[in-house]
Amino acid sequence: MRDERGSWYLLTGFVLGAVLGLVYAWRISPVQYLETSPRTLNSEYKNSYRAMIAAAYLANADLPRAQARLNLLEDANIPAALAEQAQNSLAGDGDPREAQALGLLALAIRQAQNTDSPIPATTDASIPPPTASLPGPAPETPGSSTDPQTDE
Amino acid sequence: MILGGVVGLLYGWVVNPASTADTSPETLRADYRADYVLMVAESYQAEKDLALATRRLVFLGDSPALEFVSQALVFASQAGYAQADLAVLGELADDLRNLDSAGSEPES
Repeated sequence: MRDERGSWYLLTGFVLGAVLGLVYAWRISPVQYLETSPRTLNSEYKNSYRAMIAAAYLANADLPRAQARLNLLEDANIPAALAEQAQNSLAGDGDPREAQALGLLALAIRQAQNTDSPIPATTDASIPPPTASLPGPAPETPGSSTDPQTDE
Repeated sequence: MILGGVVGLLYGWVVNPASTADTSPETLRADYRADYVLMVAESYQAEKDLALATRRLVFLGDSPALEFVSQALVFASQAGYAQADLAVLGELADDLRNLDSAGSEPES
């Protein structure tokens, strides 16, 4: 009887400890991510990043570069994401210039798709991000990245 | 209980850590940060709106805008960015530096 009660105490202690460990690991002291990529940004920051890509495109009209930058966000449908954000910006009290830039970029990508351009309009690993095509890409220092998804 | 705690910590930190899909721009890798600054600089070249460029750079964190541009310039030089990109970044850095030396902040 006493032995049975002892094993239950052990099990209860284990479960309680595991729960406390999980609360600590997920809530109190969660993993701090460093060296992340734009795809891990929360949706609000992703919108800002997307708007900045569109603003830069409006300035330089460099579609492949804008496309490569948008690929970093890993949107399932890039033109749709741009158009949706443009509409939301117009519907809210967003900057009309931002909405215009987003709309123009969405249109340019759709046109590139429709004219069977070599520029793919969906996520495509064959298009490197802007810095990756440069002679001296950013060195990945082993162990410096704590973003688990970078190791995938 | 201690064993359970260790297992819970291992699971929560290593096996299944908290979501990665909610990071902030402060944690972006240096090349992505440099590219963001380059986007701001490209827009600035067309718009010539230093206040807007400064507001856009706040995206990257609380440090002064010039610091972000300087860091991006250093990275861009080391990573071998095209001369045109370096020039665009340099122009934004110069204008922010001139603004700093004039002792005023752009209206935001």
